[in-house]
Amino acid sequence: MMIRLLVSISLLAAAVWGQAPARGTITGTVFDAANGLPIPLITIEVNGMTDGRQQTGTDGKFTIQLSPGKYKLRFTGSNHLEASIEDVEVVAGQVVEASTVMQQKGAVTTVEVSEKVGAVQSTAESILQERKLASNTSDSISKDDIKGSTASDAAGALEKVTGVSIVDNGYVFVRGLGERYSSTMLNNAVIPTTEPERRVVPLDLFPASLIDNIKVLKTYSPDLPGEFSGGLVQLQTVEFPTAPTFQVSVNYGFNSQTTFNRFAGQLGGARDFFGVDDGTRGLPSVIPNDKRLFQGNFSESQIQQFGRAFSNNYQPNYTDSMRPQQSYSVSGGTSIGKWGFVGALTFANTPQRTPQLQRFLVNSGGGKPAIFSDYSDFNVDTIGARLGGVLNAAYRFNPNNKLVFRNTLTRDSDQETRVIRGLNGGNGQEIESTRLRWVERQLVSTGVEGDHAFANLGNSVLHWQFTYSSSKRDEPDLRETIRGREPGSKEPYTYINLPESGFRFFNNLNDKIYEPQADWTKPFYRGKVSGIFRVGFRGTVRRRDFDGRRFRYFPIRAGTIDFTKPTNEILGSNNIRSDGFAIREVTRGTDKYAAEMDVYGGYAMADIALGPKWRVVGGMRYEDANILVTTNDPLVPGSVPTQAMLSNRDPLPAISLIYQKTARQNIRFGYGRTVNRPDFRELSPFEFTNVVGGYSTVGNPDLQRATIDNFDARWEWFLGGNQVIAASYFYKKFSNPIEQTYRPTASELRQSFINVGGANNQGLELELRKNLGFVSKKLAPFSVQSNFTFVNSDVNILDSQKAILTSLNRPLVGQSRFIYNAIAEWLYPKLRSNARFYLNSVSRRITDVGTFRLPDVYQERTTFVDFVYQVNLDEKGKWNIRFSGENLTDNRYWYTQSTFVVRDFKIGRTFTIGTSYSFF
Amino acid sequence: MAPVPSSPKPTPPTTNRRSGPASPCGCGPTNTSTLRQDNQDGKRYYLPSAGETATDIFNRSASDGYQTTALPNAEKEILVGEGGRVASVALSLFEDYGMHTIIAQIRDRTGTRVLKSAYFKFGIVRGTEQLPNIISSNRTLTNDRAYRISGIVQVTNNAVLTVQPGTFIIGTPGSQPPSVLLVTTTGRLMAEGTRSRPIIMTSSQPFGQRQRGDWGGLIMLGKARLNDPSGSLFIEGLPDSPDNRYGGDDDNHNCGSLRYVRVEFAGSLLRPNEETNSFTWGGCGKATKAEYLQATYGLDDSFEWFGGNNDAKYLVGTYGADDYIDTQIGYRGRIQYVVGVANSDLSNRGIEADNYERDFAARPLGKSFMYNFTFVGNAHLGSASRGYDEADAPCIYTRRGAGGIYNNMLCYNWTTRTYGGADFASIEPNMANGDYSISGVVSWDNGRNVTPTPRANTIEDQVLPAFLPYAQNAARKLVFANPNLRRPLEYSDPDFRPRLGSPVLRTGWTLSPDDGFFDQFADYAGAFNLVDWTEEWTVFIQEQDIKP
Repeated sequence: MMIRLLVSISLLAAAVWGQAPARGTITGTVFDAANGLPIPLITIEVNGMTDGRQQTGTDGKFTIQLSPGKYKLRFTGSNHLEASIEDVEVVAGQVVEASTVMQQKGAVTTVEVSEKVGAVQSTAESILQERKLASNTSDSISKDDIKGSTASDAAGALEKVTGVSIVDNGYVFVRGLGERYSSTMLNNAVIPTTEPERRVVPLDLFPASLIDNIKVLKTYSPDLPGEFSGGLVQLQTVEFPTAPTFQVSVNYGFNSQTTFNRFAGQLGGARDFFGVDDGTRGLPSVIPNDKRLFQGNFSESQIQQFGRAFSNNYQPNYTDSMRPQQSYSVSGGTSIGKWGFVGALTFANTPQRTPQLQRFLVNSGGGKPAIFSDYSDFNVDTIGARLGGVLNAAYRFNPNNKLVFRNTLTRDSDQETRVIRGLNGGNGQEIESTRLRWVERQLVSTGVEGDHAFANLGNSVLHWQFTYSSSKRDEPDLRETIRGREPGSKEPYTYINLPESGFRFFNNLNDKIYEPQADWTKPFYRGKVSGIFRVGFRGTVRRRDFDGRRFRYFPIRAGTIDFTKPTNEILGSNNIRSDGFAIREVTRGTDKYAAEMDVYGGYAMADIALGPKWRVVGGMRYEDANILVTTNDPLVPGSVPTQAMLSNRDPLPAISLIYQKTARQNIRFGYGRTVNRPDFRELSPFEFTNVVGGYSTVGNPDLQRATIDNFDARWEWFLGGNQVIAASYFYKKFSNPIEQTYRPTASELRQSFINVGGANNQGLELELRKNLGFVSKKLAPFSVQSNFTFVNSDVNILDSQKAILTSLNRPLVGQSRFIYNAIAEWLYPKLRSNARFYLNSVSRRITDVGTFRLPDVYQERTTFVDFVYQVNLDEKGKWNIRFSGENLTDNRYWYTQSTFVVRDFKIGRTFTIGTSYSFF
Repeated sequence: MAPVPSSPKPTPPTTNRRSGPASPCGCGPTNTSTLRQDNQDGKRYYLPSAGETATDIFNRSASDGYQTTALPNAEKEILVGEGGRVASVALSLFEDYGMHTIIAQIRDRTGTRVLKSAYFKFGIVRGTEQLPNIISSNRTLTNDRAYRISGIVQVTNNAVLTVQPGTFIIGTPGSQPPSVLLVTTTGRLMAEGTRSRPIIMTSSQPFGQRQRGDWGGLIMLGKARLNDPSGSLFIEGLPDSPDNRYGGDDDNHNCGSLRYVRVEFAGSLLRPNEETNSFTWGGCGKATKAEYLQATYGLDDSFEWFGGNNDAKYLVGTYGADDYIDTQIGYRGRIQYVVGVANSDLSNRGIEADNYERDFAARPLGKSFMYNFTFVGNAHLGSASRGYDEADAPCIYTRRGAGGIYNNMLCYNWTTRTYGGADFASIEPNMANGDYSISGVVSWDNGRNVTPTPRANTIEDQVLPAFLPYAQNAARKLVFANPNLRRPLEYSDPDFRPRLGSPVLRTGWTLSPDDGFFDQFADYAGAFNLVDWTEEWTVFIQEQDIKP
């Protein structure tokens, strides 16, 4: 479910160190016009002068400090035609960006540059510039875009990207393909997920203020890990400032159905507000870890003692008036000598009430659906607490050699208190189910990387990187109890012994990735043919441990217990006795698995400009992947280890052809082969019910990897500045894709995974970013951005599934046919103000595949309208105030199956006021 | 080797006294006697009580010719609780391997006529053997050993597993997947005990500490038809594997034969929501035999059928936590003589019959033929025992498009009411064309402690409103009268036979079809008339009554 949170957007606005002499800064990146790579070792002359040290670094960046005034910059390099930028205005205490592109000498036959290359003015523009030159088809979102939006995290920011929709609060669907076909990299390293049931890390884990930019690569090239098809999301944390910065921000948000409303919370620990459980929910210390609580392992009195050790805390703790959402952040950066530092810290606490309706249908005969369970009073109250920090440092030995250390920590917690009331079809009575849940997630990524340019090795550049990432997820003490009464009765609910009642579940996951990588890039120039040659290596060594323990209070004899008493009393320690309740461990042999995956990939590729118009990028990657998943809890008697082993060596070729119609227009064609490997969880027979009352999910150790052939075409027209028009077509053909399947038992449906014959996916994307000044001068402060995606997919249903699945011809689960985004922006420097207006609309999509002649479940169209207004209170933009309204139409989330509404809720409008102050 | 428990059947005193309480027949002083019977050769040995001189019932001591038994043989092991004790009686070892019975008798003053007997079955074995997880060739389990099950033991690959009479099979608690004996569609189980030597499948825990769900239970799978559209399903409670599939098109499939088998303390929690039943038949066909079976202290249902059409007769369900008879996915078999008894621990439905949960109108229709069931509940114990597992726990509960013939039933003292269900509209067409019929229910004192208004012995109170118009038809033959049973609520030693003049003995019940399966002389409601067919091979002891 998409519950969008509001957190601060801190602005890493550049400002000059106060005490410095009244100088200004010019900074920028120099890109190669043919391949889009930053060019190192380019000399920059200022007004015709150079001290020889003003050169671009290995990242193509340069920074020059100058007295106020207008300057002309001239760029020269041994293999590139010179370029220049005129009238660069330096203002004391400010930073002006002057990025440019340079043509390779061999690429231009006649020296006739028809269009003057201008300086790139903003980060949004430079991101666009990068996209124009990139060898991949990509879409991206810059710091500016994130800052100007209501997005509080990476997931919210990505919602505005072409072809991207966000499902379930943090998982990206790119071009209608689910998380299975996307992967996420943080600072160019693969990161582990914090979710045992998911393949990729949820993007709402990354606060917006830690992010510099997000790119969604939609086509594969051999220098990337070969495991994606829809999109590869690349997150880059905050970059080094060119001048010292320090900024704080504070935001408060008011949700129309949460703030100041009655709210179900939990009696937890002292540090719950910060999202850290202080041990209150931990497994009691007397519970042994080396033995399971089975009869036979312990005496009855010992088991009674264990049963009494757990807290008897099963009921929600209500607050009459809930506090507003709040968020705080601090960020800063500076350079000291050859060192550069940047850091950010952010914290948010976001309560959200979501009262809803949920229903489950049944086939009442002949495929006619009827309501089975009717939970008309389904309340979920959550408090999200998110803490994030980034600390990056760089050491520049000289422009040609640089070391960067990047550290990212994010952690968040979700406190979910769920109270469901309504008719339960399983036992034919009205139930009241109360569930208290707490999930803590943490991701740490730390890496070191180096860049070295070798002028004497043909200007080649070596990039190396080593990253260690670790993710943890802890879900301590999930507690559920159920009370019931006869349908239509007005009696109070009494405790009932349904199997979920008195249930407690503890589980945790540790996932680690060690990732060394290196790339060596060498440019070459041979008359009309020039380009780069690149080889590289990446090893992704991943380890995961998961284990869980399940307990249930089971009534041995009911006669002596008064089930009308409050639950905390019924399960209180004085009722844990031989003629009352006993605790039982119901941990299963499959509740523990260890997994390892080693992927070693090497590649060689070339990026060749064939004359001024054509560019070919192609190469081959070879990936050797070994996966081993062992599921077994040796402490459970009779548990037999299950091993899943996969070993594949895949050649993964890619080629793309770029035709530069004019200096501003590109036409691209691409082909690439990628793979999709089963996730650890999909290979483990561990069984888990994601949503109680929903399907349980069990892995399949026999899964094989799938291969995908991807075809792409795109036309793009860069209109200068932050303006673009683009159209793309894609077609993907899947061989042996892994799809969800259903295995029915008499009492339930198990969801599992299977390699199916094939699937196809194709679609169209249109994008426009345009300033409206061309219509009328009066409209110059206005610009619009809009994108539209149309996707069509079909899945081949296996014969063995035809008896169970209702629709034999359907789109991929989660794929919307249309995704539409529009942003209208108003920039009014006179009032130091800007405003943005957002519209996001996603058409209906399948959320659950229908079985047993019940139709598929669709989530109906969602439409969001957001508004942001920002004003700077002073000329320099040090003090900023921001108002936003999110979900202004209070979108109705509703899900239908046949003619029934099976789920229905709203999340309320959220109004936020925030301020940020830059000290310098 | 640790001593392994069996199941008990000691009732009143297990000591030998010269004179006991007044005789039940009121005809003067009685004698009680305790004897052990060697079920291998049928010889009987009379026992002394602890601390007394051994005498037989005629007060003859060893010197008078009473046969005392010297049993210092350490090679043998008694299948009883820790220290070889049952209640306060220390037992010694006996010479013959196999099943033995301790019989306590109340006799008339002459010592010749037995007025009442209580039985306690135990085994003498060479040791306990762990069964392999896969039995893929023919094998016989002999009664000179006990057999332990840990995890799933599956009979597969056309193997026949034969179990001798008097054999103990014990399940290990805590294992996941649970300890179950699983007869797959390619295996067969021949477990044919006798009245004196039943086959006992029980928990490995000591007496008094045995609990429902200590182990899994017995599952038999066959290839008879189900009404799931896919034709075959995985069995509830076990991991997916082709061996756990059942269902097909062979309505004559033979899963094997069960006679005189007890399954005790079964029903492991596989996970919240899934428990294994004591006896489960999935897709078993007509050639399958099942009679004289007892499920006691089951955590889930006592007897459950998933499709198929196998018949069953003489079933005893005692102190189960869930339903006693549960049918779904198109079960089409015949069942006669069932007794279901709930004690103060837990309670749920007597019969829970579905057609199919996922398609109420699925075919073949779930239509079973049930005759002569007795259900005795715990309604007298008050509100604590109601609303416990499922608030709506009537004696007969039909739903989800169920068919079936439910005739000559006795519902006494059941938890909430006599007759109810759900999804009436899906059952109505079956009522109209005769695929669903209820006829002959003697109902008394059901839901008598429901709060706030106890249910009266009237049709309006005893039938769920949706089913009331159907039930009010005279052809349903609902009778509200005290069945006047002998000792229905005497836990540990009940007697469900009707006294003379009981309304269950009225004439006019709907006779079962004379098809070779149903007994034609059972012209009464409920499972009993004069004969107590549960005698000797069953156990009604409540676990708390024998707790050391």
